[in-house]
Amino acid sequence: MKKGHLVVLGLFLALFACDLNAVELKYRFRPGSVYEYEHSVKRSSRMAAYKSTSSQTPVSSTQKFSLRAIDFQNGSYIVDVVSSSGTYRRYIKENGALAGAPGETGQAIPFLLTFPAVDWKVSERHQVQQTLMSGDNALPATWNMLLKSYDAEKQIAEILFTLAVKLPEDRIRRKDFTLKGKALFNCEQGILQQAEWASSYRFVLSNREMAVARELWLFDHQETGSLKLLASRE
Amino acid sequence: MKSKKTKRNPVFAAILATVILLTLTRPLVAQNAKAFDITSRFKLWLLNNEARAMSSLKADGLLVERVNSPFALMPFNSSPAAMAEERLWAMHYKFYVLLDEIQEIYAFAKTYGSGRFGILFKQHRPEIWGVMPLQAALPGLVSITAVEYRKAFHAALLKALSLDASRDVDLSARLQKAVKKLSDEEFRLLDDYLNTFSALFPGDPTATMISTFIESGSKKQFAAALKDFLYPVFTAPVFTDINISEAPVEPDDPLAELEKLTGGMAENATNEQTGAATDSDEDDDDNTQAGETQTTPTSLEPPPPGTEDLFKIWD
Repeated sequence: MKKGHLVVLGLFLALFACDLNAVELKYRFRPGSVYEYEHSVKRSSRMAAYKSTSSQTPVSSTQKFSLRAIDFQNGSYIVDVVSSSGTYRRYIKENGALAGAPGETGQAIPFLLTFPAVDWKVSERHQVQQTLMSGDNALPATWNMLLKSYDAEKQIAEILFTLAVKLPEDRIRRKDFTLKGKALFNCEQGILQQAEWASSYRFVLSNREMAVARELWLFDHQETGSLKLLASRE
Repeated sequence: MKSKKTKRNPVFAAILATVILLTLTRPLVAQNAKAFDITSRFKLWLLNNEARAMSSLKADGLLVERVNSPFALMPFNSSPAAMAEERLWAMHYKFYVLLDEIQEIYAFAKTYGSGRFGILFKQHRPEIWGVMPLQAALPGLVSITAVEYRKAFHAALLKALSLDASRDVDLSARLQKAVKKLSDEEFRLLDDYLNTFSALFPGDPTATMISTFIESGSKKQFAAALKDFLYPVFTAPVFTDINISEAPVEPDDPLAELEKLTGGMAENATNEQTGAATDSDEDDDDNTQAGETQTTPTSLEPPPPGTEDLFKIWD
């Protein structure tokens, strides 16, 4: 074999190997299918005022809901989210963004995790910047994502995600907010298999007069959420 | 002439408008002003901080709630919240109740605690003036019912002044009772707040006054003269002792009192002293108000120079 052929073959193999590691994360709900999920939330909080402290017993709630995939139109999946609180129509784009929610008009739409339209590679970081509105304030927020691992056999991608957002502060209000999570995405079916996330909100109110500063209260709220696919059927 | 008139008119109108505005705004200002106010500024400070915290917690809570539903395929309805701050607000509510109580106790002690107000009423007997028209028409009836008139007048007076004889007879005990409604932890927190307020606003003595008042007022009795005002001695014979047909001239006859009052202010103090002595003698027989005249100031003395007198009756 000629030397040149070997080089070409080597390059081809290298490219092929790269392609094997690349993953495309896109929602692909199959119209006519029903996906059953379980959503759990656990909330706890703590407060401190000088030596007085108070902790609230964690409040947990679990609900099951199903997702009925109806159609795919204009780049969006038309789905119905059926839960105990009712049925809500959603138009979900392939990257996870919401194109519309006619049944939830007037309601604040959550700040959703959307996947960048690129090939994901293991250990490669991705950022999606969005603007989070808080009243009249526009807060820049960034979703940081990382493909931690990919199970080629099961075609399951493990994604780590965090949210970076700075809540409005001033000279007497100091705040910290973090959100971290993990998601398992089934690339073969194009659906979310499982997700867990935890958020922490910490708010310190103090008073300042001239050179005197006193911390008054600390509020600490923790929340964990999980989403699990229980079954999918046609 | 015309030009002078036109020049004066706007000035006159401006003065008139100012007078009207001042007349209208004075009651408004008076509504907000409290006598001997020591708690408002601290209370407002705490309320404002609460409002700031509540506002931030709510706004941030809405944001956090939006972020905590990161996937478009899940329901967006919110879950029940665990809010530890509710306990803090509950504690603060207890503080507000206590502060109001402290304010009322302090104002009562300041206003009536010296005993001057009680003596003034004792001297001037406004209840007698109240039944004057009846005296002309039914003199006998007035003699019989004089005590009841006085009692009714006194009860109405206390009600109008927001005083309660059984509650306010011992203001120290009332203060103790109010403070005891707070647990040790709550009281420590209130104390921390008061210290913080004093540190933040060193020129404002109200927080120090509140803590000092709580500390000293709970330990020793104060405003003892209020007791006599709340439980005055009614000296006329009671209804059952009176034979209407042979009703003697009542020793505490309203008109006689009125004559005394109109006779001269100077003599009044002496008469009142004698009256008070007689009252206490008769009261011993009655055994209903025993021992209540022990702390009674016997006469109304002019205030020492430089101190403000509430009634200025010597002017």
